[in-house]
Amino acid sequence: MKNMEKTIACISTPLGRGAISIIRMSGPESLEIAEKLFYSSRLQYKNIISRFMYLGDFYIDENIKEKCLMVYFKNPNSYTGEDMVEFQVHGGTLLTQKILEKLIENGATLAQPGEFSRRAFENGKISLDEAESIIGEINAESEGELNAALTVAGGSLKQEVVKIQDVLTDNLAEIEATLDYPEEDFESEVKDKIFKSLEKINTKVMDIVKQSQNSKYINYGINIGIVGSPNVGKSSLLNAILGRERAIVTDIEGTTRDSITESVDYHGIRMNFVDTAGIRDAVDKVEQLGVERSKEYIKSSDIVLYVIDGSRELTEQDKEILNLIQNQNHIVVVNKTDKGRVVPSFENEVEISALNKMGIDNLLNQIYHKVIAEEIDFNKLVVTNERQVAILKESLEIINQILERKEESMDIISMLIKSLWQNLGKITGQCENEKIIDVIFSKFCLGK
Amino acid sequence: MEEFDAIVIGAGHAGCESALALARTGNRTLLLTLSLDAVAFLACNPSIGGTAKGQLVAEVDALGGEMGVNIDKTSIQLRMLNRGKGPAVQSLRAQADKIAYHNQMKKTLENTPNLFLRQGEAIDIVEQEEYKIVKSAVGEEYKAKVLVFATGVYLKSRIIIGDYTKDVGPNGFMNSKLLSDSLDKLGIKLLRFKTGTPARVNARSIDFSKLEIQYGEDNIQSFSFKTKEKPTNKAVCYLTYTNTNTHEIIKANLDKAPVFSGLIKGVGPRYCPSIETKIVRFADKERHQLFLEPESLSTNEIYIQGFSTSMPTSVQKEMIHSLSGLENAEIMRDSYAIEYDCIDPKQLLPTLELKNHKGLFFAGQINGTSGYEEAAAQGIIAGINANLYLKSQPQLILKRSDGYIGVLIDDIVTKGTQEPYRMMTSRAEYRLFLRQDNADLRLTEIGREVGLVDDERYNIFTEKKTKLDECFRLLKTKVIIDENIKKLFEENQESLPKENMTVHEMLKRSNIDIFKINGILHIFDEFTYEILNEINIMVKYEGYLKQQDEEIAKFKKNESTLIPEDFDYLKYHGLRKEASEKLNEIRPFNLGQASRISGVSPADIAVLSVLIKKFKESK
Repeated sequence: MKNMEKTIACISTPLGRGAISIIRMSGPESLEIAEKLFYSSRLQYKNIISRFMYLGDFYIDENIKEKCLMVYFKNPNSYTGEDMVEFQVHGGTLLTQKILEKLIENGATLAQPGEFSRRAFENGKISLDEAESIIGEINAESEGELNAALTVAGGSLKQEVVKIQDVLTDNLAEIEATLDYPEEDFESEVKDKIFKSLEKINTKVMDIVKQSQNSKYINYGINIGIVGSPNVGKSSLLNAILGRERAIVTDIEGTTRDSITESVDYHGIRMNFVDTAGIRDAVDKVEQLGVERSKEYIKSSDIVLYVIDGSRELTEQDKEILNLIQNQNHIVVVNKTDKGRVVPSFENEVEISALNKMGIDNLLNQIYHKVIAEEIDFNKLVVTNERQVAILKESLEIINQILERKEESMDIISMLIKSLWQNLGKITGQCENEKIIDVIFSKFCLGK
Repeated sequence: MEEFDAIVIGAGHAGCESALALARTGNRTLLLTLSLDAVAFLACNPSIGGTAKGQLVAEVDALGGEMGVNIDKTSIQLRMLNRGKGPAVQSLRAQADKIAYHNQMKKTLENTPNLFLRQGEAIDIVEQEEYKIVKSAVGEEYKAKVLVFATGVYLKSRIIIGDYTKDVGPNGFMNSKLLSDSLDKLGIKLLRFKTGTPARVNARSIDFSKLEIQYGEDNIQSFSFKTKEKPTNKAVCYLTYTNTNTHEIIKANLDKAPVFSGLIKGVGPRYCPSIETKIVRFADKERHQLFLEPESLSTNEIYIQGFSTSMPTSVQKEMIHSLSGLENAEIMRDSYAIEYDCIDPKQLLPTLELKNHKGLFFAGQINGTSGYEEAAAQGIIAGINANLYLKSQPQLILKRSDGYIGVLIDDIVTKGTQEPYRMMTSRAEYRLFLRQDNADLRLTEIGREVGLVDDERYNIFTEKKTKLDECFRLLKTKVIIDENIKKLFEENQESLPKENMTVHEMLKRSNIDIFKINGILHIFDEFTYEILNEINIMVKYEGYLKQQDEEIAKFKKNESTLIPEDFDYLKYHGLRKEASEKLNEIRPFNLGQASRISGVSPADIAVLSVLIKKFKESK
């Protein structure tokens, strides 16, 4: 029976921005899936050593790879007692989510609340004494999801998906009525109608997935990097921002990166300023740690503040840094404008005086608008978390499968639509579709 | 007091299967029925099978039941429904000669060793130690260790026509007034349901020239895997429609319809509404289709399918005469509604034994279901389990992945029913696998194990399996792409293969089937249509079947986690209150059944699985 278990995956570290995130997989196909995505010069999969840490690259796509650590636990010597693979990556919600999505794309299934522990228990890895705590864990995790769904913004996703499920229910009822009541004189060709409706659903789900980008900012805030040559006023800028707004998050010390995040709340959005000791001490990153490190640091930001001293000509170093951020969403922060301006004007610039706390509000406003494309309407926005996005993407795959198979007979089409319905049910909590039969009877006139 | 091994009360479609299953497994069985003239009586439409029901008949047959054999001997028209909509939903439907059907079944019962068919009214059931004592109205007493209740719609039944009501059973047969009270006394919760049947008219008075004819299909298969003779069509059906005039008559008389006047209190099925309900609920529909079905070759009576009503007879007459072709129809039997007592099936185990009453089984419409096929399906399971009970062997529970029978029983015992329960293909999660054509492959071994499948049936089954294996081997045959094969691809709008391929690969092409391939290669000449059809489905739907297989494997995991009978849902922390109460009411057999109880969430099941393991290990 053990082999029948699907391979499951989830993000094991708390959501939000941490120093590192761990993504875990458990199940018979763990290694097979890892092999498709993780490469290390020191690793040959057929000779992989259990419980050994490999440093390598996780391929998010052909061009984007992420350095991370991978550990393989051969069964039964793992937490769940099954084959397991763990990836330890730099903290960063988008990155973590991408990795999880890749695993799912390659055959893993999202874990149910408490499923890792449940498997561990079933495989005898956890003692009976610990059983109670697993129950707590399952309840807490499913409650957590429930609570997330109950928040105003979170509820809107559920509502949207329920609407889609309702349309699918109607479609299914229509198909099922013709299948179960072949002798009634129903419209003979329901297929075209259903496929049109599926195409609409496809667009709708794609929209929601797109919007999830904004929801990421709502959930986790905007990550803002500050770069610039020494003594241009990076720390005064940060202090001006922090002094002006109430800091809402305590500092989290990193382990793999010596960075510190300080956050302020701006119109309901958390702005996370990724500060480093380097910036604080006015010892420039580019100078001290080299261009490579800065690149990495810039890459993890949603937007970069490129700070220059407006009262002096640009230095070679200024230009070098500007070069680095050319292709990144950025704002040129012209500081020390109180001392008179010398530098030419830039396309995306904001003038400030960190010392006098001038122009800070304007800067925050610019950050907000440059990251979040349109004004967020909190009433309309569909907020999603990683799990929901992954489910929506799975659903898109199923929809495309159905759209490609229009030639199949109605019993197969119905089977595929049902699996789509059930997949969406993971978001709404509606897993049993007893409604189909109700709809059949309410919409169609049947009987002897 | 006469003693039997088993007593079955009621000789309808459930009772007949129960009694035959018991007698055939060697038990001295009394089959007690209110009227010998109502044995296997088709009280409503003269037909067996149809969507999902055709599958049920095939499953009853595969287990060694009688319904398939009986209809094969007495059918007068056959059609395969849903051809072209996929193999999962194809179902055989027969017009039955209802007189012949009754006679044939009665004869089979009369000639079955160990089976004692007897007319008599059971009025009371008493449990005395391990025995059940059945008291009859005329003072007879019978006892047995096991009792199957298959009393159909006869408990406190009354028929309603307009404002006329009478305490009788279907078709005016005597009903049973006292047995309900006996069930009540045993602490069984009763429900009150309603159903109905349309009028019968004399064929000589119908103008068939105005009507569309519906023919049966030639060269069609039989219901039973055992039947060797090809069925023939001996009758036709006709189609007519309601019209604005009909609708006006009904609307003008709605105040006289008992469903609306409040005279009928029982819950009627949504899938089988009376014509007045249809007109009210689907007001914008201009016409409703009606089928005229012959009741028997030995009578002129014609059944008007789709026209059931409980209107007063004067209105009924007007309604019928408004129909095209029936302007001068002579009514022979009036349409009526019928109300009856049934039990809440949530009180049953998935074995159909009553919880907390050992040896008391229930099958058929008494369980809140509807339909002959649904009744027979429960009948055979109750019979099998009653026999296993007598022999102290483990009970048979068919899973939802084993057959429609499994779906049916699991649905009613786990979720109960708010209306007479009808089987539909949409109720089955694994319907691509639960096909009519493979019912024997799914269930014959089980039927053999419980002693109902005789050598004749078993040999047919093993031969089919051998033939299928042979066919599968032949699928590996390499095909050389010659002119004939090229032509086959071209004619079927399939792109030409680049290199030689196997028959199996050819069969994967959507426009090419095994029959077309054999037309050229002739490697399957020795195989029957049934075998080739089976292979065709199995190859064409391979991918989907595999997908379904995986789902079934996952499903079975929870089904195999049994919940100990003495597990106390209310004692443990961790389960939500609502979930623990629901679980305690149903007391599911296994984790899978628990997960299907409404109000029990996946998280509850995860918690429950941990609690069960803990409970088992602490013992």
